[in-house]
Amino acid sequence: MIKNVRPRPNSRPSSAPPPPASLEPTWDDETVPGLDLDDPLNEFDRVTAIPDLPSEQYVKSVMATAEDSRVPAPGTPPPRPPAPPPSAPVHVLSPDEYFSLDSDPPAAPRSADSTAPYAAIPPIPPNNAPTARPPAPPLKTRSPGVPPQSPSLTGLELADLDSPDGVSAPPQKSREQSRLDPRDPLLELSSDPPPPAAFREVAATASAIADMKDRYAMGDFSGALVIAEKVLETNPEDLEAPRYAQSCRDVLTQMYSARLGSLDQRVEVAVPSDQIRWLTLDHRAGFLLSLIDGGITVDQILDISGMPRLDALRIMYQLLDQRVISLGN
Amino acid sequence: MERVIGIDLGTTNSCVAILEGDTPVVIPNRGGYKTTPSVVAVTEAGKRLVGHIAKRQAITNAENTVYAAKRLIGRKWNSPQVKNAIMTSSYTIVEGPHADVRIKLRDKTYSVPEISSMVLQEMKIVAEDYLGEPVKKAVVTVPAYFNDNQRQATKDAGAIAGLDVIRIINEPTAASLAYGYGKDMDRTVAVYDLGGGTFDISILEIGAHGVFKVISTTGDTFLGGEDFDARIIDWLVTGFQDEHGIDLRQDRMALQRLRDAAEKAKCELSGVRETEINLPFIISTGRNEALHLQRTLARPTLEKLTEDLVERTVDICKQALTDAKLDVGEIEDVILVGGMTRMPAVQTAVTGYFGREPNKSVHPDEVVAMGAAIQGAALVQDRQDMILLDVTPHALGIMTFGSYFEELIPQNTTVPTSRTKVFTTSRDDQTAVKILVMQGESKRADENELLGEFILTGLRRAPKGHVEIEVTFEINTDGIVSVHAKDMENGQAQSIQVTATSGLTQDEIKNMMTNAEDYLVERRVDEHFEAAKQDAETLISEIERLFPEIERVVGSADFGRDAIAKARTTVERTRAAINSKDTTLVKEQVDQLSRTQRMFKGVVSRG
Repeated sequence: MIKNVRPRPNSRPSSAPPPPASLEPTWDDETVPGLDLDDPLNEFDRVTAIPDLPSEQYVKSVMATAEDSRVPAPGTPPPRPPAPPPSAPVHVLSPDEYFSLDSDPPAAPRSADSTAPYAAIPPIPPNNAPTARPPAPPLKTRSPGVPPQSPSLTGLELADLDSPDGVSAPPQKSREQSRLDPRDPLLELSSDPPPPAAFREVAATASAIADMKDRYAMGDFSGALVIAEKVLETNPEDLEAPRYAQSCRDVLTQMYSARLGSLDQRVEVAVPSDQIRWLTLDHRAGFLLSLIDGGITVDQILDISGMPRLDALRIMYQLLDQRVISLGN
Repeated sequence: MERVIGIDLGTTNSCVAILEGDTPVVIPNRGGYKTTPSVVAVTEAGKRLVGHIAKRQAITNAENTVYAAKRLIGRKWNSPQVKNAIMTSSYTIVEGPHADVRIKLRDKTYSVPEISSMVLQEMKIVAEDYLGEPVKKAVVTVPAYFNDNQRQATKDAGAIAGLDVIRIINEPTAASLAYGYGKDMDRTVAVYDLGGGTFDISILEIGAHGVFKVISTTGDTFLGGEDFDARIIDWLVTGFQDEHGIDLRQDRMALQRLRDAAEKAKCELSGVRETEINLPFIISTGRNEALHLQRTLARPTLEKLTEDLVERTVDICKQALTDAKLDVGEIEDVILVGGMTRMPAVQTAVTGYFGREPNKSVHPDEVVAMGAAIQGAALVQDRQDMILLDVTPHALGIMTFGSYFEELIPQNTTVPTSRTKVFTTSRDDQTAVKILVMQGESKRADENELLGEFILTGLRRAPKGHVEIEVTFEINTDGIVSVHAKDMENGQAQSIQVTATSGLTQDEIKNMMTNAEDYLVERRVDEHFEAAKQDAETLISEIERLFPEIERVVGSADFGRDAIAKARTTVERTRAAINSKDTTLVKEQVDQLSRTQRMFKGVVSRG
């Protein structure tokens, strides 16, 4: 259940990161003890701020985001990239094609643009663009007689476009569609080869950027940062991700600093040394603990930790939260 | 009278002392330690770290942490020691504009004297905090084998740090001075100095009336406590790898912890028979799984691990005695210097070789700084009986035919001095001669340091050996060496003046001094702010603790409400002042907070 949902003047998420000063430094969350915030598998467990959205809208957006980004269980089809707008060419699979990935050419294409060259890769939305999911790049239909080149499930799933709101439907939907009128232009099959890997990467990046913006707008700065860093790993040239990443880092740094209080406080280990090994910590927390000698301050630990300041702050906060350390003058 | 501090600027640790009354006192740093690691680092945020704090991040921030800068000070870029350091150092060493050595930290390049000045500045601050007054003068110690350039570079480092280095003295001499302080003795001693990174053995003659003569000195600049630590680290890493199949060296954080733990265990084993090394969460193997390292190290194990290192020091001792042309039985006392000499195995080895128990009347970590402090006080008090004579640290001479070194001024000659020698031409019809001025003790010229060169031309054409050239070496009171060469027949003369150089120009030194002063001012401002901030935060927390009680006591009285509102405003203003980093304002607010706190406490005690 969502509590303390507060209306805000402009609930439309903006792509431009708000100035850090406008953020609530005394945010609260339900931090899971021992949670590894860098772990992408846990990224949906994190809520770093109470969103300023109407509750229904918030639930809807969270569900949509989760549906898009859920990590697949073994044996399930991979996640669907965001759907292109309704005007995009349609590429629907037959059940056989979907499951067997047969390399035989499909039925003759009826798409008007089936022989058209690949569309240009769409640019990443500008910085001031709204955070709505960006349109996926237009898809190519296959040329007659050209066998599909090692089609992947991810590439073929892009055909599912009948969701009116742009949210991808589960794979069963595609099989239902295949029983519909074959003359329906929306069901035309393309004989073009699947989009190349670079093309799919761009689509994935666009989706991730949108997800990042959504999370940022909702106050999930940790989640937005994880996505921004992933985007930068695959596409270091991206212009928006660094900006968001930096803004997230700034905000999170402020938040953790506010939680810890004065960074000039001396740190002490609050757990007897013989009991430390029974705690649930990782080696990085263990390393920070090893730096505590009774005379060292939080700021000095951040200086000498050798890890990014934000990471060190977060771990220090977790250690404080778990009462492994105590602070004082 | 002006105070003069004595600084032992070590390769791995530094120490500062002062003479209080007649007693040399070592000054502890803020952490309470009497020695400060000679380590300088620059953090990612551009903050300068010096001492223990820098050492504790030496592995995790290895590229931006300078240790053992002393091995590089005053060296030329093309010297073998620099080439070796480039291969072994984790930080970047680059060539300076004057064929000197520079060190790159983050986006800035520093000269070696500049790095050493940061350590000296730290020692100066430690002394000033202790004395409560500014310190301007210092005596700094250097190894006996340092040449003029290295000594000059150390002086320059002092100048950059804002210190007038009134005398540079040899480390073994300083140790002997502290050892012989207050005693009138005449004996030959060995100073066995096993520090963190280097080993030196010096044989000295301590004569009556304060004559300290270094007869021989030798050592290994890559043998010290760190090598002992490395053996313990190897032992721990191998054991862990056998047990878990993981090489801890691959993880910087694990390695940093291993290094700290190894040093701690080594120190503990000087006092106890065994110690436990406990490093929980040393490394993660995957999700939610971290491994712990827990081992017990016994003293015999450590001794076995480091046996060969101790033996190496004994071999070097033999060499020093050979150089001094002395028999081991002629050594009347052995002075131990350096923390590593606390290790029982080292003491046993020293006792075994010299055939006598080493002298334990002086503290091995502090004795050198104490000697420097004694010398500093003697200089300002003009106590002639204790003032060391300024001597040439190395022999001076010229290169002769066949690349031999011909000595003119022997090592340990008191300055000022002048010596002359006559040379002849080495070829028939030789009309010019090249004079290469060198410093060192080796018979081979290429093993000594080249100080300068000049050519004397216009010689008469004659068979070899027939033209005589008089060469004169002069060292004045400032240590400036002048060399004159004169054709004794036609009076044709040429000369050169050799001034020791650190590789820095006067302008560069001035610039660095300004930067160091700025840093010091900035640091003092920060310290004042932090002190005021801490006072303010303590008072705020006390006042906030009292608020509920005050509200309960004064109830709904108008006066009480006003007082509480004013107090809250004061607290808010203080917080704003802290945020704006306004020291003056924070101090003003502290006064107000103090008044508020007193008033609240009074009300609560009455209520």
